[in-house]
Amino acid sequence: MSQATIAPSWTGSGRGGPLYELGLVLRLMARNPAGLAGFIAVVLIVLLSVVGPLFIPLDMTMNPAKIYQPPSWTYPLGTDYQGRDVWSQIVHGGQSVLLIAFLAALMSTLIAVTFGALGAFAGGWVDGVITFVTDVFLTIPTLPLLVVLSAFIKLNSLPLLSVIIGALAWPVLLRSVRSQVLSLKERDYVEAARALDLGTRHIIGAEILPQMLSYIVISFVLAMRTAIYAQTALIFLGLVPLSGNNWAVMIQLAWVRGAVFFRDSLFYILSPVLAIAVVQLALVTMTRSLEEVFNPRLRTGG
Amino acid sequence: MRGSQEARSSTRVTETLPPDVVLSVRDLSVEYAARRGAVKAVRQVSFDLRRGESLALIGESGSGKTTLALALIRLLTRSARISSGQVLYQRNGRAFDVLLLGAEELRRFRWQECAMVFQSALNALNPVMKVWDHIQDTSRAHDGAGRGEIQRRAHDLMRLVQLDPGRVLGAYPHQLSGGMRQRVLLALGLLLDPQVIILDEPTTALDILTQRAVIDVLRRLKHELGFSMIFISHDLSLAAELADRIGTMYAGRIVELGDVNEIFYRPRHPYTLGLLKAVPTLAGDVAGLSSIPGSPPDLIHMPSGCKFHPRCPYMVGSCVESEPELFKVGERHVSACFRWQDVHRETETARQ
Amino acid sequence: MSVESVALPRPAVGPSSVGRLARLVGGSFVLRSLLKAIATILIVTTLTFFLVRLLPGSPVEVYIQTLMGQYSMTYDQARDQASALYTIDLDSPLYVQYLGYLAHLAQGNLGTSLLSQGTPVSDIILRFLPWTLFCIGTALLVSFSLGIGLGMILAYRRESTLDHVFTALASVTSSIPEYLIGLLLVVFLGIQWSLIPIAAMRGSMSPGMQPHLGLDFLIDALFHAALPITTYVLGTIGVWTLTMKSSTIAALEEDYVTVARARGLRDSRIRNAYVGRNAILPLVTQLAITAGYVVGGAVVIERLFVYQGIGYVLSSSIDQRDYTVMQGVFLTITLAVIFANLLADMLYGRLDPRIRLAGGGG
Repeated sequence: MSQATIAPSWTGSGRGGPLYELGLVLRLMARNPAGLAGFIAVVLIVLLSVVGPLFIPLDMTMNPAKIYQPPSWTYPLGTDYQGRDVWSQIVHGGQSVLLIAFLAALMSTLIAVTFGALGAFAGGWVDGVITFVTDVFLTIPTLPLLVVLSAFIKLNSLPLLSVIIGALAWPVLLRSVRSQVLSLKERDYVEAARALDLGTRHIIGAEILPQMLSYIVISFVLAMRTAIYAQTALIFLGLVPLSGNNWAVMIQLAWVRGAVFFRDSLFYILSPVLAIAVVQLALVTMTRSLEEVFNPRLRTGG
Repeated sequence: MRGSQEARSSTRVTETLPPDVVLSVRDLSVEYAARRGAVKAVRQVSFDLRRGESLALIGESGSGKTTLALALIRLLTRSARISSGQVLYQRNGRAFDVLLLGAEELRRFRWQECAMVFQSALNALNPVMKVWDHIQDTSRAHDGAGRGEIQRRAHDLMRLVQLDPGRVLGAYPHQLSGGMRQRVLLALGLLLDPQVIILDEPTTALDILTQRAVIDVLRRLKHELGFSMIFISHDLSLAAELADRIGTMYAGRIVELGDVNEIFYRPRHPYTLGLLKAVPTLAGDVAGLSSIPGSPPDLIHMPSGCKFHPRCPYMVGSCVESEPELFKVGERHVSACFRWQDVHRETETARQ
Repeated sequence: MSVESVALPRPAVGPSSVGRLARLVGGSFVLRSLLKAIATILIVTTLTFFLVRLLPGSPVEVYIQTLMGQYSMTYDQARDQASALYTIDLDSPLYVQYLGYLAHLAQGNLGTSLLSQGTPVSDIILRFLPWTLFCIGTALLVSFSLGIGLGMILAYRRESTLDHVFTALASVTSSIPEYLIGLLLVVFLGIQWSLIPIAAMRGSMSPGMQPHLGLDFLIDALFHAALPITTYVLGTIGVWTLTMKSSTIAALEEDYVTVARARGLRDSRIRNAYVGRNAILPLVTQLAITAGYVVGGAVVIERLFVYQGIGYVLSSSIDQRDYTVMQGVFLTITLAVIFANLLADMLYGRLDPRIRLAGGGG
């Protein structure tokens, strides 16, 4: 075992293989049934988006005779304004959404955790500056800022969009991370570690960060949700010249084509909207199950 | 300030209490519902409280003292249940059972007849209201008198508890120290001139100097205003200063009850004896100090017979078989121990 | 507690080694909020200034090129025109331009629209801003009141069926992006079930209606704002309800509530002055954050319902490359949010004596 830590450890027994641990985690999540459902939904959607396109080809055939058809065996979700299969578009549309969300969340979380922990731990003027900058960014409304930026920076690549979104979504996360580290700093085992002269890097790395694992993971999931919100809004406004398949692009196309205002195109407009709504909902509910997993007090069963 | 609360005839009891008894608790039992089973927090507690008398209930944490106090004004949490007993209260010759009062009557009973001052008043006051607002609130809730009279009374009370009215009345709770807040709460408790005041660990959270101040105030008030007092503590020395009678509680029951002198000089229960021997005196022999071995019992699955027997140096066979009732061991002195005759203080403390 | 529901603490006071001024500012909550507001305004104005001037594809340069191409102007002529429209003196060094820009701003001069020649940006903003304020203001009022009421009810009736149902509903509506809710409203209420006259509700006013003080105008305005307002309300009520519910539950467990009951206070009094008054405090902070978020969302919602407010102007000004308008609108939006935050801070300070009288003796 590596250098001993004083902080209460995260995983329980350590015995049993990874499958056992997985079973344990699932059972913990099941304590919050809504959360477990959310987690499963997220897993399914990710699977669908990653694996689905390998099996279900994207329907590119344009058939004017088959515009806005209702759902049928051949077209489970009907057809779009050019007679193409909606279901295949849904299957292919998730990758882009999730990837952008993932990258943006990664960036936000990295910024938030690094500077939040730094600020809380360093204190003094460092903390003051970080807090000040965060507060300023917190006040500036994110969506209008993104909208304005899109006028100057062509958001035509996926990574670029992710970076821009990620660079603006961290303030809320940073605040919670910082307050969490502040409270952890005062815990007894940190005092003990300091008394034992274990060094700042060790204290942050081995005592504090593992306790914050839950916070970081949950922050990441919520950052993904913010990123999906932001990208969908930007795409809907037509400010992102992104090619390829993306649920938000589907919505935007439907809007531009006036599909919203036809009765027959219900499934065409509804499918991507529901897809995004379900993902958002699943991500948020999933965090509740994650709390069950990470909270040691709840875990040991009272 | 006194309202006239007439009890409903349905709650009036047929038996009459002796005229000088304000409160008579009979066979009171309280249970909590916990996942592992029912927690028997208070078990068949009975005692009488006379006018102007102060009774100290002493025990370790988990002995049920706070639950008992809360039960008297029916302020228990939703998971708690008063499973049996009566709490008879008497005023102006009329007695009624507090446990049978309706919601509105209970509301009027609280604070007006019986006030409970909680320990650690740190959070007992509404942080967004000034002290004066608290007083007004309390007065208004009980058909209070006009503003002028309340103001006068508030000033008097502040002075009584040795606080500066000009400074304290207009202050918010966070602007006052812990000791000051405790005294504010005390003054608030006296506002409606209740017959009974219950104090839950009145000095535990305070530093020694403030403790002294609060004890002095309490003693003076008791003398001047003549209310009856029940106070709960684990601190025997506090009881020595303030109490007329002492009851020691263990595992939800009163195991000994008697006048203060009787308890201190002629204790008749091993638990009381243990408590006494654990209190250091200024001039006493440190070597004579001892603590009671073991720990309080699990209130869900209690030992058989006398609940103290696992820790008792006087234990014999019959202690395991049946739980002793309260035997009369002296003038107004009872003890729940089969071997009470064998219990006495071996070491006398030096009389000052 | 979940990340989202953590009551965000006020940031720590600044460094202790600076002089009396810092301590004065650091000690006074109000002053600190004010200072931060001013700093934010400065940063945002600087940001927009440099964005417009320095980013690749700088709109000013682009505009100059366009003018040259379209109207066969010389570079100097085009530059002069651009200079006038952007209220920037392109001749002077950068920092002078910046100061000039700030000076113009202070006087309320936000430049002139690139497209509608001769229309000051401030005019455009003043024409469309009230609509957004009206819409969002009404919506926040409704959703806040309903939300805190509902939240309190759910807290008092914990674990009941009502609680489970509405908590679930609140969670769902607060997770889904509000513009999708708006879209669903249009699709279902308007198109599929034809419950509401979607076509007639477009825009902020009926054709031919002029703004004036009259009941018919108010009704017309409400009619057109109904869908955006409903969308905002549905999108935010969940947050209020859930936050109020949890903060009420926390307040109910406080000692002073138990003591209040022991004091024989009436349930209604306890509910209002002891529980409610304390439970509402975290929501006031939340109000500021939500206001900023809702104003941001207005950009999408107003386009969705073709509601001519400031958000609509922002997105259409970008489409039309009218950068002076875009710049002015962005500044205005940010200013509005900053102002809302400041108000919320002040309100919180008034409501919580612990903040207002920090440092009181003990």
